[in-house]
Amino acid sequence: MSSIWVPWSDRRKQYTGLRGRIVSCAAAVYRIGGPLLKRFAPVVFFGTVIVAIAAIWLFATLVMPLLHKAGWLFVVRDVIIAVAVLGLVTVLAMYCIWWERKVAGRIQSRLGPMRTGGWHGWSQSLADGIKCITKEDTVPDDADHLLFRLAPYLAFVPPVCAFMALPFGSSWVFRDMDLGLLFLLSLLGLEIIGILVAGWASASKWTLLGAMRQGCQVISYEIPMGMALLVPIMCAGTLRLTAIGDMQSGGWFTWLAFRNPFTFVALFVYFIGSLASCKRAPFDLPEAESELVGGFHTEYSGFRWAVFFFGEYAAMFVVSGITTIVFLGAWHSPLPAEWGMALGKGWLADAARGVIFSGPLWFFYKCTWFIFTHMWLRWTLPRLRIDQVLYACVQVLLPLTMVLLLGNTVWELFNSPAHPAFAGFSTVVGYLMGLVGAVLLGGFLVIAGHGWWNRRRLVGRMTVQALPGA
Amino acid sequence: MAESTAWTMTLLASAQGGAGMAESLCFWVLAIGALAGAVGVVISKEIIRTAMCLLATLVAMAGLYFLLGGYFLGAVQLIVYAGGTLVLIVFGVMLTARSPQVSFEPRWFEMAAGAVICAVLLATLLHVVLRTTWPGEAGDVPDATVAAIGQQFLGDYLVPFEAASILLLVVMIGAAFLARPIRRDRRRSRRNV
Amino acid sequence: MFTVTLQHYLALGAVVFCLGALTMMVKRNAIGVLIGVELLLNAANINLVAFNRYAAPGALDGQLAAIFVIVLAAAEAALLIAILVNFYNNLITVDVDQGDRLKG
Repeated sequence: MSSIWVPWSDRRKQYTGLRGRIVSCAAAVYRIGGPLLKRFAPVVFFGTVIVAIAAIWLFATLVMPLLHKAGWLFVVRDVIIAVAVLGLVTVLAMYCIWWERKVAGRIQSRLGPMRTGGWHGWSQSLADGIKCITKEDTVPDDADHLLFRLAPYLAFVPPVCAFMALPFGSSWVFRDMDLGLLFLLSLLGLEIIGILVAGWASASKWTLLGAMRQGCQVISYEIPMGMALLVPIMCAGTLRLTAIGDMQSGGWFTWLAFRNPFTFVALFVYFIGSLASCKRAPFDLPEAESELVGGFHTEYSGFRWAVFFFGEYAAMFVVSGITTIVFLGAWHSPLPAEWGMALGKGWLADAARGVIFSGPLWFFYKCTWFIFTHMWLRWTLPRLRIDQVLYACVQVLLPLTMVLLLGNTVWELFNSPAHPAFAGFSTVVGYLMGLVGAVLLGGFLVIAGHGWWNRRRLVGRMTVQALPGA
Repeated sequence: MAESTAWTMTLLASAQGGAGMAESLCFWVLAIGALAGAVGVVISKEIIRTAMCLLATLVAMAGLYFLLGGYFLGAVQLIVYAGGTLVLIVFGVMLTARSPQVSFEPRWFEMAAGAVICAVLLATLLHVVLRTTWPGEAGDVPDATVAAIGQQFLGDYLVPFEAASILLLVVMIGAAFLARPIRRDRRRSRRNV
Repeated sequence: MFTVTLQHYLALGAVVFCLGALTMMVKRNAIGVLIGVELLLNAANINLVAFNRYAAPGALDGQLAAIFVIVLAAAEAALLIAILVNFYNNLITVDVDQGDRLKG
């Protein structure tokens, strides 16, 4: 017989028999594993990442050929991959929430979550998730019940579906569509409807205001986003994301962002558009806590609110993925991929090539770099008013993208073997832009390193006092 | 998610040479979704629910376009129709509603007369559709790559393409002019949104 | 039932067309009428694409026509919403039955 203490009762609950044995096993695991997890949390975390990647690789090489042979079992494969994508999105969202709080803390000269789970509060978002699931589920009386319940999923499903066409590597894609980029853009456009319905169905004027602002902002910024994407697509000549990625396999200088000045500026225009599309600061009017209580998600509590934010972080990842693939070399490292051929054959050489030269880890790293930049800008820049948002879109970014499109068209028209002088000039400019990019990145690293090296002097000591009774 | 299933099954079924089971399953799922959405549009009483049923129909139609091999068309349907026109409709609902649940009930004889007329129309159309022998078997899915469509736009269909762009410009100017804010003296105050 | 033929798509198009026509006839809200129009255009589009696939598989004319229909439908919806905003500004309602100022 074993007894455990349940939080909602005054006494210990007794279990006997088989249930008792299971409960005592679980209690033993918790007693032993809890402190171990707290002590070795970073090892567990990185170990989980490595085990997950190894599991995916094993699945791809051993299980998939078996499924290919047995015809209709493609349904099984697709269901497994769909569940895996859902799991990836959930874990990614939880990690991003924790990371955002840490980044926010550091930018504001404090530490962020430190207690939950031990090492730097790594399980803070897990605890938040459990709290959200166990919260009371409120639905306002005046709300349209069906639509109120439907709206979070309308906002969550399109970004998750977008993972279907987003390649993590040359062959790490679920469906390599001929119009992959257009498909991703269409799914990101579907997200607006979920937020609009959420704002409407909550039967509150604040939510309605937030929803209308969001609709206005996201639709307006879709135009400069799409047109800024057209600039490197014109250089690439295809909408197929794997082909665009393969085009940039020659190292830092072949990345489409550094091809000519127009694509370089297009990268920044697309990034600003993506900030507005994901409703991140400085464009976070729809969620403006200081103005609209909570914007469109004011009336949502518990799990439905969490679903909205899973959708937001998934959309952030997808948009960062598009930026990476189209502008910054997709899954390739700054080193040219053909240098990796010198490593030879065999699975160990393949793994080394994946880590050093081109592989899903590089794609993931670059996407998280962009997500970090989203967070960095959120906690640095003040919020824009709606008229400033629309001014920036229509009177600044839109003419700028038109100039970029025109300039890039003319540039690419002359950048062909028929005009060897211009082609030579274009390669020189390409190297120059690559140098500019390298200087910018190097400058960032230098400044960040200086800040980290002198952090005690600049910020002061931050200590974590133990809570009474801890 | 319907499109992903349709896509998967179409590609794999045609790769395995048998288009039957998977394609028909996708068709029936998407067709029933489209029909359910259309019926929902007719019978729903609140305008925002009508718009959501229209969303269901539009997404199901996009799935059917993917199933029929019109991949670019399906993506355009999702971007323009579901992500543009429907948002416009929802904005229109939000701008012109007095209360969140405004509904206008049609009178019963209007419904009956409409139903009779549409039933007659449907019977005629179905008679024509089901009794005619249509030419052609289900061929392979056409190679409608984006490049091919682009070349058609700038080749055979250049004049409609340019005319459509001029039309869009005219419509933008017209809509912006029609919806401009006017100061009127005797305008009754309406509920501030 | 197990092979999907052209007739299935045409029948679907016919049913959606009739439901769209019914919506246009029955709805009193102007936006409801607009939604009915969108249903009509979608039914026409599915017809076009189905014919493209089954009767002329090598060509793209049906899909291009459908793309033009989508473009025109979007333009028309924009204008209809603009007219609707004016209607609402003048009559404080979107009930199409109240739009009888020119009557008599």
